[in-house]
Amino acid sequence: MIEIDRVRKSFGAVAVLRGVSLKIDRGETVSVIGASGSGKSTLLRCVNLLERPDSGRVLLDGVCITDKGVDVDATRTRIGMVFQHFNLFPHMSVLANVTVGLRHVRRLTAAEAGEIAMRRLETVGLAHLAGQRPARLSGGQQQRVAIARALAMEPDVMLFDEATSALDPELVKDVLSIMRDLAGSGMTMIVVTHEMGFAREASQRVVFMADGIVAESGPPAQIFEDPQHPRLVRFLSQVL
Amino acid sequence: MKDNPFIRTFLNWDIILDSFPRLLAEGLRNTLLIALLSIVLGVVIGLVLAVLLLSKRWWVRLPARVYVDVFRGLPVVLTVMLIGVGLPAAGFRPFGTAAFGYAVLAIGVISGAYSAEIFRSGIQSVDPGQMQAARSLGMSYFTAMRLVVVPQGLRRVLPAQAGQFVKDVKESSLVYVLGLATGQRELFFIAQEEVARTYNSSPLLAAGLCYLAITIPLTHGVNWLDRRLREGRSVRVIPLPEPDLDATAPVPSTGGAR
Repeated sequence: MIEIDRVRKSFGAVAVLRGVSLKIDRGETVSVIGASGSGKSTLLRCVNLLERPDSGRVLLDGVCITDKGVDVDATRTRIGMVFQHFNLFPHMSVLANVTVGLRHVRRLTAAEAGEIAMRRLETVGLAHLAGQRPARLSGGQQQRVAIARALAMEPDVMLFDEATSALDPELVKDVLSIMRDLAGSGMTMIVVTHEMGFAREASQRVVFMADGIVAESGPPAQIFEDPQHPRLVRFLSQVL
Repeated sequence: MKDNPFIRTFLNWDIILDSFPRLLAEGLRNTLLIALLSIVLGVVIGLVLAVLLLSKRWWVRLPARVYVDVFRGLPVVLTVMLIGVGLPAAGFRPFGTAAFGYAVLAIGVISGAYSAEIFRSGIQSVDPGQMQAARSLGMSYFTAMRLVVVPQGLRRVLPAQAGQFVKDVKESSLVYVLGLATGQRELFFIAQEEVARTYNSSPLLAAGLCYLAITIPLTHGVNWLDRRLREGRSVRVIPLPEPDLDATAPVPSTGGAR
């Protein structure tokens, strides 16, 4: 479904991605782990084209989306993104945050968009807060709205960029449980995370990145029980 | 008291009372009209320029940059003369021979240059994550700007923009250098005529009161609006009940870790 093919990306003199290749099948949940600065987030941002790879390709259903001339906006509607800092639109109500893409990208009527949005807000358990401003919600609630906002566009793939890293510890589990449900429902997901519990239990595959390359990848059991790469062994000893 | 030269010159009540009807009926209306139209024109020009100034392409930024630097760098009265006298003389007469339209154009063009910088700074202060979130929903750059980034940026610069509006009101007085026909005279122009007629400066004071009656409520009105928009966002102190979770205490609001 997604194929990342020898992607390289530098910021100035810093080579953040040094040739990353990765295939994600439809319905698969892949967790990407690694230390800060290992290129995890940049990799994710290359998939939805918030960053342009310097070289290499990203394919979505066999179609290269990193080619020039590809409709970036249309491509992004197929890829949902959840950010570390939620990035809800503070000047809009919770409901409007979820409907704005439906109305102004999908061009649905207010009524149609509202109906879809309310269903999505119910999925994340926040329909009762539809009329509130995001600032009145807790961090966990805000992140759940952000998930509903991305899901409302009915994407083929969901990307999570450290979706729980900015949350207070007691709020993390609500967001994680929604992500687990989503993974269980067959959504294709790439999850950059520091939550080793999620990586171990909810993903089919774990990818360990170090210094801009995929240092090791495999099923969670293998990665966590029998790590091979010395960097991964050291990383796990620090985070577990 | 009446013999005090100071009071005789500035506070001659007979002259003040005599000039007020003209000031209010004709002057205040025209000042408000020039100011309002200039403000609208200035905001439109300012918004367009601000978006151009934020472009990644230098050749889009360049003309906007030149515009802003030129019209912020010229004396207002010179620009008013250039547009009000120069344009018609050069054969460009969209408003015929009446000074009113050229006055609005001149003040609006200058206001646009200042507003552009105010708007640009406001738009730039919006968290880049807002643009990224909007784009990741599939919005085009301009849709994201229009719906997400610009509205937030403009709210932040309301107090600065209030200052610009006040300046526009005051600078509307400079159209007097163009000479205004009867019925189109604004506050300062009428006050000048009254001063010339009575050899007394009291009408200036009367006109001044009229200006303050516009500018002070304008400043406080915009500040009130600004406060209301801010408070609308900061009632977050009340933690919202989290339904049907386990029996933990109410969730404290973090309000986002931005």
